[in-house]
Amino acid sequence: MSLYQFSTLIKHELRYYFVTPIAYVVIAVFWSASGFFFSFNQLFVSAINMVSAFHNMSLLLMLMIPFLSMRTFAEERQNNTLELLMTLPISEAALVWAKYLALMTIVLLMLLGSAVAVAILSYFGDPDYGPIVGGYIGIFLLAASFSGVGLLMSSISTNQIVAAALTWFCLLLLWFADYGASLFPSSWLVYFFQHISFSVHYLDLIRGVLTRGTLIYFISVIFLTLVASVQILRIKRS
Amino acid sequence: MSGPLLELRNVWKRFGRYDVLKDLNLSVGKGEIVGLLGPNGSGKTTTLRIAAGYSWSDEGEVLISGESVYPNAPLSRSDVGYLPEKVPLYDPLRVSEYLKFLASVRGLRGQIAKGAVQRVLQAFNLSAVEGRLIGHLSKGFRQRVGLAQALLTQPKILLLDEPTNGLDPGQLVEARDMIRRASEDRAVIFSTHIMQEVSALCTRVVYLLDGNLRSISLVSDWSIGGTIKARVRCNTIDTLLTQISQLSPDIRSERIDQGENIFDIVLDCSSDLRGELSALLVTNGDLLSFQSETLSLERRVLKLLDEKEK
Repeated sequence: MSLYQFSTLIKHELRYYFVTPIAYVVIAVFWSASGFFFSFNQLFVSAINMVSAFHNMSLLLMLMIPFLSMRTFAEERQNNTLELLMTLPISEAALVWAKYLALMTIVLLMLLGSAVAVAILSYFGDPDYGPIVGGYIGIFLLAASFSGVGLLMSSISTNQIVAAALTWFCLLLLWFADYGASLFPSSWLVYFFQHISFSVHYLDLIRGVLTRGTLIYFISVIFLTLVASVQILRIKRS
Repeated sequence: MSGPLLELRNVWKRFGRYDVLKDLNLSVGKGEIVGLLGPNGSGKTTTLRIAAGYSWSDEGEVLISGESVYPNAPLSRSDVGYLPEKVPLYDPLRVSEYLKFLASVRGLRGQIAKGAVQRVLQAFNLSAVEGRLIGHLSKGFRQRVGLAQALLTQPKILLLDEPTNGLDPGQLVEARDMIRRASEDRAVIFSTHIMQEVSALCTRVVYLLDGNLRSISLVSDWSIGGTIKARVRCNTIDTLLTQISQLSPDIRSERIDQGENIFDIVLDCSSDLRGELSALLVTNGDLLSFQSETLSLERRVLKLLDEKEK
């Protein structure tokens, strides 16, 4: 499969987001809500940093990404177009990556729009740009992980609503996984639950601190969810 | 190339404990249109999905132009055009956008892609609706767009799953013409429940029964029987009917004219009894008319099912 065919798939995915209202609605809601929370913090808390903005963004992304990811495979399956795509001369991995990259392009657009907040901070104050750039990289990794989970849930569902609900469920489960540690005190499971939890890793991220462990964690989540999606498509063939 | 374009060799497919396809063998050559018949749930769609590369068989192999599809499945799929039972369309896209996307993802670029799209738009009379949203098209147009996408890259093999489902009589004739034209230089398999379609289009018919294929002859042939209708003037009808029933028990008679003892006799027979029956009729009365016809395709399918029951 050529790069041309792969880029065609990505363009098709992107176009499909914008021929339906879903991308417009999700982006608009994200920009409005993140802008509102940022303004609220600046006016009433007077913090000249982006930590609280990133915190709000991560929760908004957890809420909004399932709306974008739910259609990736579930809608194709519902419309029978997955049967068409999977009989084209493209591999399952290419299909999954194309859908993921298109989804990440939308997510990037959402985050870029929210960067207006940084411009406002720069105009009215003198923020430390290091943690802001680090924070954006972190929030992008968090969104990339959410998108991976969303894609995986969509690949196992035939219904978009079910796909979105499963994604929220999984994201919440991973977010609060560290709570599970208290159920098994003085056990290796404490270590396990703390390390699979989004909330444990994301606290460093939104402060702009990117440790090797955090980086490995998020890249592993992305990689595992995409590999699992490819496997699901293969299993469903047989 | 003289060998078959598509070959399914010893294909098995199981869903749970149920064997849908059992050691299925099928080969289709260039210029052939094979009609795939079978009751609902017999595995027609599964057979086509395996041939198209959407579904994988549990055992056996699929060969395209003599080469095994697995493990280079994506590569071999360039040679196959496939129209699933439920036409796969993106409703929010325009017809031309949809076809351009599929041309590009199949590896056609620039002017070649544009040319391919124009060719199928014209071939399927879609030029007038190329700018319309697919979601706004009628069922007939949607089916045409589905057929058009299957033929975009001029594949060697065309697989159509119930391609005329839900079309009105006018659209049905059009679709048949399109399939006939498409078959000129490629191998075509299509599944259907409509016998007239098979008679009108196919060069060969196979019936999927118990997970395997049985061939059904398309040629009118007395070797499996037929129906004979005769009109006879006879004064000893009871004796005549007794003699005929010894040839075949499946006999019906009706008196047409009381005064002249004219009877219509209809005999269903499982072998060629034309000679014996005409001799009996001439011997026992005046033979006024004599017509015979071989079993229709429907009757041949029913006969196949009867044999299975036995």
